[in-house]
Amino acid sequence: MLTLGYRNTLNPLKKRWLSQITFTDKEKAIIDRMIRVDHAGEFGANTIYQGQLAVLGKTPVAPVIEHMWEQEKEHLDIFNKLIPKYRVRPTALLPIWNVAGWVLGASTAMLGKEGAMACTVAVESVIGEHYNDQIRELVAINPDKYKELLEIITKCRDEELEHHDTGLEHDAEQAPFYKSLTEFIKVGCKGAIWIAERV
Amino acid sequence: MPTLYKTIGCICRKSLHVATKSQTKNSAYLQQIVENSHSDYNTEHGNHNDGSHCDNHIDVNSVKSSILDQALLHVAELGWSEQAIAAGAKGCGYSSSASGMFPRKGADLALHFYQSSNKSLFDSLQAEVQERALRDDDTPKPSVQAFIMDAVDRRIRMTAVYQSTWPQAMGLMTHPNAAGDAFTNLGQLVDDIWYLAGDKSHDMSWYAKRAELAFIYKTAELFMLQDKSEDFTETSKFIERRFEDLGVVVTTLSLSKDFTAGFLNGGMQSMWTIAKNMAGVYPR
Repeated sequence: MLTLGYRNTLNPLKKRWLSQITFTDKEKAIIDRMIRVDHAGEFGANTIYQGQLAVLGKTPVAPVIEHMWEQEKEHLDIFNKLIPKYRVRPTALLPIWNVAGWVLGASTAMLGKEGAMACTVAVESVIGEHYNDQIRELVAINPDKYKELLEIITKCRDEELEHHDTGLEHDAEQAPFYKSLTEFIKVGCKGAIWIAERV
Repeated sequence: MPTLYKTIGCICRKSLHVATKSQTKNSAYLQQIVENSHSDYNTEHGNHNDGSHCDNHIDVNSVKSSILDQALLHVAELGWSEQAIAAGAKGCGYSSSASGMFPRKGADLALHFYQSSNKSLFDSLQAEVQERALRDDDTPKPSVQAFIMDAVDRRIRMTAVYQSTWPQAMGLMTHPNAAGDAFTNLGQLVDDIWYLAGDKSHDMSWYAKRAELAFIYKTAELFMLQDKSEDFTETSKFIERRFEDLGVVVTTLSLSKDFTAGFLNGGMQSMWTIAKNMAGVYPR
């Protein structure tokens, strides 16, 4: 059982635990899994862009990557707040995602700007799909109860798909071995999602 | 047994005579009946939990917990045992063979006690925190250290009631079929305390904080077992000293990232940072 109390932040004179949403154990387990994997994903995305910028920081494509990184930072910030709010255990593998994300970002960036963009396209398409699955699941259960989560996930999904399109606009498909490279990264991402939901 | 039948009989009278074959099978069977009718009920009525349809419905979990609550009164003389549960069942008006509902016997009783103590600690602390939030801001908030110390102290005192028999319970809870639940209970306790203390951590410090607090709690529990001082004042002092030893770690809500990383990753993260610096690729 988890009860969330929302304090009225609009009127500081009237501090009240305004409304309470209670989740059953089963619902809590679903929320736990979702927030944990999303938090891990945004954390990983941050390190990927960080790795890309470490290599491509002084090239003309840097501002594009920086813009995407800024949005990812914002997402991570949101999930950093959701973790304590919904009392979710963060994934225990954060140090590993830290290193793995950075290496993925930096190594694809070494193939050139196209390589970095191909990596972005692969990652963001998996993440977009993953967010869509979550939205479907939440809507199927109870869209009113999960309003806050749905709004956040939808916003993130839209921006991730924007990054996907940005990647394609910046010649991702010109990258060496584009097909096999993206397939390889996609499989890796799906594996990471599977693990982060559980550990 | 007749009383137990009477209470559960309203749910499924027909199947009961089948259930009288053996004692343990019997209770497991009864439980199944109740649970089955429970799920039927839920699918029939959707999510209506307003209680208006529940008049003739008995929740097996509430029966179980009332038996165990009653059994706790007999722990001092009978220990954490099947006998204590049987006495508790009798006290609730059921047959003593209702103790067959608890396959792990004493361990089930100890786990129930642990869980319900956790819950009452959480409820009372939460009520205080909420009350403090409602009040005007000029009353000083207790420091995080004071809050956590108080919570640990209170929780230890709940267990201290059973000081003489608690070692038996601790032994039962290390048994393989109970150890998992016992670990979950401890995790729940430290998570409850950190949550109410206002912890907002979302990285590896989440684990560091909970591990530290669990360690302090377990050592304080062991200390309490041999504490002969009046009103467990020595235990309280012991808890205070432990917090002083670990002051930096537990008392601050925002731990420095490097510290926790070092604590849990064995310096992995810092080595990684050094490597990035050496390669000259660390973003500024």
